[in-house]
Amino acid sequence: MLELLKFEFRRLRKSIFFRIVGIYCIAWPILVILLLRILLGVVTREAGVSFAELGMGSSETQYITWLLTVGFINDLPKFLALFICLHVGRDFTDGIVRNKIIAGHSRTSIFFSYLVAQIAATVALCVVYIGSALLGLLVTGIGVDLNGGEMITRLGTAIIVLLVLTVSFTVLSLIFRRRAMPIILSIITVVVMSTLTAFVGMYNLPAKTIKDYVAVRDDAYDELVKHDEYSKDDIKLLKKQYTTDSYAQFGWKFCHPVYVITNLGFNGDYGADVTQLINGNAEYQDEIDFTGNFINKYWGGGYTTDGSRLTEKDLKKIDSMRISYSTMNLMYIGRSLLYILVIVGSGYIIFRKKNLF
Amino acid sequence: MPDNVEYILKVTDVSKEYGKFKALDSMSFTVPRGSIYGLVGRNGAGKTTIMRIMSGLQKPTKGMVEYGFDNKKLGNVGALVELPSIYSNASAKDNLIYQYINIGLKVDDSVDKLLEFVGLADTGKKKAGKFSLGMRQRLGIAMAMAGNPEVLILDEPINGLDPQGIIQIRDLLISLNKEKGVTVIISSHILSELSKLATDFAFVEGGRVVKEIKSEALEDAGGLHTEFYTGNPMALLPILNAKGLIARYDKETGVVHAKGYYNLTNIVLEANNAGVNIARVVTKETDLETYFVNLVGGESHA
Repeated sequence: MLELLKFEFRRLRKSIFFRIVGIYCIAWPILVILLLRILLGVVTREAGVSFAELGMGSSETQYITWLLTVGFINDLPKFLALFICLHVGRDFTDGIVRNKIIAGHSRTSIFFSYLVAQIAATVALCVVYIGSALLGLLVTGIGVDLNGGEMITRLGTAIIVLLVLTVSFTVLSLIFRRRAMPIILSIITVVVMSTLTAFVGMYNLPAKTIKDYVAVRDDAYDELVKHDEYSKDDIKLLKKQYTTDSYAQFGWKFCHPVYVITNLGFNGDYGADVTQLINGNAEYQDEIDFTGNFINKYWGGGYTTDGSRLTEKDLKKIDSMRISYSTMNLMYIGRSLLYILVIVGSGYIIFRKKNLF
Repeated sequence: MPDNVEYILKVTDVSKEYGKFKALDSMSFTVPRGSIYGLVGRNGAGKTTIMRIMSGLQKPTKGMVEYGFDNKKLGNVGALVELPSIYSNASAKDNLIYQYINIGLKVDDSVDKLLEFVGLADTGKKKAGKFSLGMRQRLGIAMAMAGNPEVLILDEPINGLDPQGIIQIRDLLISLNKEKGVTVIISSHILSELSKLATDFAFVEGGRVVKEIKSEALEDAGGLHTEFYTGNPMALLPILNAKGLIARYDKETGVVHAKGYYNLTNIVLEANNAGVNIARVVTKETDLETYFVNLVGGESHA
């Protein structure tokens, strides 16, 4: 196994494509940050102050730090799909995998050496991307705020989420004899995932949230009846009209289960802070606040037609509107590890049994 | 498995089935240590399949392959099955370095020596993808040789090579076998070449080994066969035997049959001196190809 890992790491070091992706991971975040800095400069100049004078609040800096460092989760999959399929595929077409078996390595060692090497390569690329983004933010004067170091755990979670794709691409490359197949399947996976992310992301609320909202709303109705603002019949009618489905909309039945069992809601979940930021300064340093999401997606952008007269402040009292970063991280890490286990397990069985060489 | 057993590899009742198709049907043979073992057979006879099984690329449906050495030790089996397994975008030296790492060897000047041994020392940074077929085959053999394997399994290593390339590979294999004591298992369509190289043969037909024979025995079974037509056969027999030929008289046909090589002028002169008149001489030389055709029937497509 050690020999195979040495072999793979040497191959990675010599891989031109790996170097290209590495250069991309350095250049792209810096380029984006430079453009952002220019844009911020223009905006502040129009406001009659310099960017340096204006400064940025902690929430904004934190948000920008997160957005630019975690960019790899959307930027890298397409490159990883191509790189892994071509890199591992070459070993099949050139007969190198056969060489390894003839030399006396077990299929188990071969399978896992590829996985370990590709996982290490992905982690290295992510670290380079993050490092480059942080450097860019510091150099351009935008600044870095890692939320007291908490963001590092979040970024680690993002890397593990990305590793599900790395493992999938590697396994696909190892179980097909026709070399074009893994490339096609990997690219389809990336395209389908990015499309689904947009849809599923619309339903990224903790499952309890709408139920809890309905309960709070019903309390509000009772209060309104108590103050004679509604009759009991009015409330009956409103409750009939505004069921969970009417808030959650028809897509909930498909998209929410997909959100619950997959990682497709990652961007939306960790981006909930963005909505929070847009609505005002973030209140919770250690939590993701879904209030903003709820208002925008289920409350028609800031008011409700259900007549409950609940305010944003009332929503914040609902516990399930907030999830701590540590809980969210654990959810994504757990889910990703489960995926990795299932993908690696099934791939390993096929790799061992199938005549691929 | 101890290294003191006489065989390097023993195949016992190995079968390989792909669905209903039986590629190997209870194949058995034994490869003696230090031999150059030639596998002879038609296309589809099962040569490549058994080589893939011996080199660990496939598992048999049933049967057993025993190794007379520690085959689990990295690099103890070297093989070149079907096509050379080399990185086409790397140089010969880089390919060898990869193979050294693959089998856990220290990368040292033996890489250059190995390249020199296979005649690729002067290829520099030229990518293996730009090599001629012969160079690729030689690099493939060098890769298989890295780590001084106990056995080298070569499937059609001279396929597609020009005469010069064939001679180079032949010389290389002989020197490997003689100088480094490597046992070589080889298959080839070019039976004349195989006969110059192999010390042992196994004839494969229909997924089975139909005959195992040593090259000396093959020479005995084959070689030059002569029919002497004479009116005095009993007087000719001692003359032929005295020349070291194995001669016998066939009473039914009246022909004297002799096996072995001789100087015809000497025999005719001595027969004349003994008053024996040789009316006609018919010679027939049995080579590996003839032997194979006689054994399995039909034309040779090996």
